[in-house]
Amino acid sequence: MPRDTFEKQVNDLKKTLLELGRVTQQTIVEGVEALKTRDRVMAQSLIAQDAGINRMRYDIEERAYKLIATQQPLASDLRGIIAILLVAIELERIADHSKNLGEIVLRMGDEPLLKPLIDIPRMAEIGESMLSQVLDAFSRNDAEAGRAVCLRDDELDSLYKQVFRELMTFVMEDPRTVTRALNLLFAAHNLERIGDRITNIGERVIYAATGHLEELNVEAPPAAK
Amino acid sequence: MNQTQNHPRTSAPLLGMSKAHFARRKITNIVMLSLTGAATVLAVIPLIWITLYVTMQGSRFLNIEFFTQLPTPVGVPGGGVVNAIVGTGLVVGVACVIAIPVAIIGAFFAADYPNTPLGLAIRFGTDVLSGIPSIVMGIFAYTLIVLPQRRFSAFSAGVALAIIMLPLVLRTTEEMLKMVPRGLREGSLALGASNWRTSVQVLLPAALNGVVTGIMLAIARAAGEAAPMLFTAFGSTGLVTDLNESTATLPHTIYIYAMSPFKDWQEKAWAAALVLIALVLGLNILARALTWWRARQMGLNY
Amino acid sequence: MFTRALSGNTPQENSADPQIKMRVQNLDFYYGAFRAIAGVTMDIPEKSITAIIGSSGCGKSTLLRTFNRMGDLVGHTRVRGSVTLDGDNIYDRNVDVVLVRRRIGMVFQRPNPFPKSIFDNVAYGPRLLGVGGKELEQIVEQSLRDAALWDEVKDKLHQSGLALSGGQQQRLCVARTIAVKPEVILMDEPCSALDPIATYKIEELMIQLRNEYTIVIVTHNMQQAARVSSLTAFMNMNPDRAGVLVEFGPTTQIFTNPAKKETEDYITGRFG
Repeated sequence: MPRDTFEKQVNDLKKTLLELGRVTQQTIVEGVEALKTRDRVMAQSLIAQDAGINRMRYDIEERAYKLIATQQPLASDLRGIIAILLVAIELERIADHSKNLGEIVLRMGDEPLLKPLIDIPRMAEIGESMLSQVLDAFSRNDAEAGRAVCLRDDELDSLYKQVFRELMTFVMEDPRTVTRALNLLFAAHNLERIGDRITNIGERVIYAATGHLEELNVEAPPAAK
Repeated sequence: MNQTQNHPRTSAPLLGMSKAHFARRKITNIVMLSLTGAATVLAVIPLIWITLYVTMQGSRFLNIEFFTQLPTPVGVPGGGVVNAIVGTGLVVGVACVIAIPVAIIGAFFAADYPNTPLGLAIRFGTDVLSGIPSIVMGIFAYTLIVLPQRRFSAFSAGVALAIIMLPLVLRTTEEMLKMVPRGLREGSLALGASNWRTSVQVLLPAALNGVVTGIMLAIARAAGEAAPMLFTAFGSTGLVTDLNESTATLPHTIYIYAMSPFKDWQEKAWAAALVLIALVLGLNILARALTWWRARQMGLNY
Repeated sequence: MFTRALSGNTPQENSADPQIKMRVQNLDFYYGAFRAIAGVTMDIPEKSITAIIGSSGCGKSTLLRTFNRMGDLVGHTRVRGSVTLDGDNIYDRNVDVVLVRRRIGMVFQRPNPFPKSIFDNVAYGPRLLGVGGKELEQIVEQSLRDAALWDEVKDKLHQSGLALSGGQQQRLCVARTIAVKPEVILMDEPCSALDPIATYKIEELMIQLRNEYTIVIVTHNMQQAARVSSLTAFMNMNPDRAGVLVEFGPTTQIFTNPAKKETEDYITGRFG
């Protein structure tokens, strides 16, 4: 009974956030699909969608600020709202990365692919699955699940390194392929960054649930060359 | 009355209130106002009547002489009751000196330690004391002081009046002390003041208004007591300043003059009665004025 | 200790920093047969602000009043356990209550200035100690300055203390309390009768005072406790209606990540 109004507002906010998450998930799928099929129309619609996603994020932000100002949340309520706020921002940035994939498709135009796309779609698959997992952990306030998602980021990182090496090989053999290689590299890079952002979301899930801030993005430093 | 429509409480507009209800309320209002007004007038009538009557009767015979001259022998015109006035002052003064300190200290004790045996005893004792007829007080003082000393005296009168004043002052002081907000007492104690200091330096000044009022009312009461004077001060025709001498007092003088068969003495009795009433009224008004003045000074609701 | 002059030279019990000013150990407080406070144990560090929060009737005011023995005033009260100041138990048999209250002052919920002048209000305490003359004037001025009231009243020291506004009256009470230079200041919901601006002024005052005094404040306003205190104690009623200490820890932790669910539920308003 007490704080019913507040709880309802928080739940509504959470629902909006999960909706944003779903939409973001979709952009990853569409981004890599456009890349695979070289569909310029899809790419353009992807780019156009981003404005709407930004609006959703700002809406969530404003509502979160209002809740903080008018309801004086404390303890887990406070951590929860702050988590919602920061996760919304991360999601919007993930969508930006997906949008970049669309831009790459437009840049690529009609040029032939340098190599068949295997790793990049694989990265997108993992990314999309990670996002789905972390959003689920968020909605259940499950810190362990959040932590588990972050472990999969390693897979994404090693795939990215693999793509990097492959593309470098191509470029070293034939420098004229550099533009096409870079396009693919950027695509892979965006997907790798998506993984990092999902890890950030995982950190927020842990914070909201336990009150502890943990750095989960730790990478082994590159071997000295 | 039709409850389903136009119920005055539930129907929204005021104007929708049923006329019958409204009219009935108005009538009840007027009737009650008239009744209470009449009762008030009835209660005040004796006061006004007495005051007017005494004023009318007594003012005829009031003059400067009355206040400054000693009484003349019967039949001789002129003369005054200065001896009675001074005598009243003397006797009441003695009563105050005895009663007030004792009453105030007793009140402190009863207010601070109400549930101790002594506190309960004080309460009970003052209750009983205030119910004893004043003539008994007179006899008491007579037995205690007049007999052993073998003379009537102003002092013994003062003692009798003191016993009459004591419960009055003690009770009002105690009530006033209890009405002082508890926060003041706590505030003082929290600063490290002892109970005693708190009572004297904080509670008493805060209650002072009420205490002084109580004292004045007690004085007014004591000044008007005639019965004890019969056994103690006993009256005198001369001006007395010695406590050990018998002395005239206003109430006693009124009694003697009024009961006498002499017309000029009876006239003087009226005048003396007027003086006494004026004194009592004056003290009451003074008490109120003091309360008002002090409240204004303190700026607030004491 | 209390029967001698104020000195405070007993050896410190706890050498962890910061120093512990008051230590409550297994405190039980009885009104007649009714146990109002059960088994409270807490350490109050010096020169800091400790807040006590909890729902109505949970005993927080009662607990506060045991710290300067104001609870004794009700009559038929009994204490088990101890409350120590600098290591000395204030409930010892040969302790003079008056001296306890000079070292541990109190500001009450409703401002209670005496019906005297502003000057006499502040001077009341020092006069009890025999201070007079120039020194008294200096103490009064300094206390009013420390209570952030001097500028507002310096031209009307001889006006009645009751003529001030509520917030000013409360600051007058603070000035009056610090005029005797206590070591600990207890505050029992000092702002609950004041408007928001007056409340903020008192809070700022508290924060300044904490450099010199140990402050313990009871408040039902959680945001206030969060704003001013460094340690917070949460009390609740147990099934026997006695007040118990549920959790006691750093304020930031209590309000962002409390250890006990009871505390969390109270702070987020889910009960209480």
